[in-house]
Amino acid sequence: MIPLPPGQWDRMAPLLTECFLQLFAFYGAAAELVPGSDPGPRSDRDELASFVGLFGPHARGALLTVTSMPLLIATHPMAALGQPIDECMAQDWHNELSNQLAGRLKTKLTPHGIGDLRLTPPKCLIGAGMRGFSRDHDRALAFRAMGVPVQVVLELYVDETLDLGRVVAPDEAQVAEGEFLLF
Amino acid sequence: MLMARKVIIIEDSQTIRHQIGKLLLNEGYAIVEATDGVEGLDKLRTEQDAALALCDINMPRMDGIEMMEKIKAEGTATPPLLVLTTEGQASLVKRARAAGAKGWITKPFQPDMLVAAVRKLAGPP
Repeated sequence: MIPLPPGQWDRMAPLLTECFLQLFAFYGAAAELVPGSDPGPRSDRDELASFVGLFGPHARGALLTVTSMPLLIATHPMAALGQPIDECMAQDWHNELSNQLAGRLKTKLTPHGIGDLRLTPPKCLIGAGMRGFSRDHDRALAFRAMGVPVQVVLELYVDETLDLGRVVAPDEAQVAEGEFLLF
Repeated sequence: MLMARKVIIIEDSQTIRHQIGKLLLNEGYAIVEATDGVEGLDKLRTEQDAALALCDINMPRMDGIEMMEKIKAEGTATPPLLVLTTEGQASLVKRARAAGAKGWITKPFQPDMLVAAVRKLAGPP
């Protein structure tokens, strides 16, 4: 496998952006993509980074999301029910958001032949001044959600033949986000 | 006195467990929680009076589909299994269905939709 080539990143970035914006919109957080790979100054404490591993026969890598407490508190489902959100709850919620982001991306990649990825259970780190970096290339997006900076880094190795411009499994029915099926 | 119908929530995210738990308790269901597939397997074996099990896929130690395949291979009777996951690929849905799943919900979910699916499969509380 090779690091995701620049031309493929150009196709991947809009998919990842769409996944991010839709996910945060669902949780009531208006978000926007901002230029560059770093969303700018953040608080000097209470930053959280959540990491999800992705592995499969045609791609492997990781998705890292870095943000801070205010966004996690504002979007936490239990906050809407009046429950105070502590640091442990924010970490758990950050992991769940990262998992949902990775799941959405996986679903969007399926028609392009690399959706057969397995996701690892997410892990969260908490600390000050955290920034995400990819090892070989700068594969990061910067957002602001409810005015809070968020950085999303996708470190992905793929088959040399990957072409995200090509649909190889167009007819595979999927269950879209928010849908349910009863068998 | 009638006992509330019991729903097993097998989900590694504490946030989602608590969110669903609160939702179903408010509806009148009783709940039992499991934090991964290994605990879920145990609850499915022991909570034989449960009316439904809600089950995540991506969990530590044992994922939800593996858990469903194991319980099916054992021949243990289970309540209806409703998958609740971030993923929606047809191949995964097919595998879950073959393992005995009765439904599939893709996260994020609308609370009223989840309650409707629970009522349909578990019956009223």
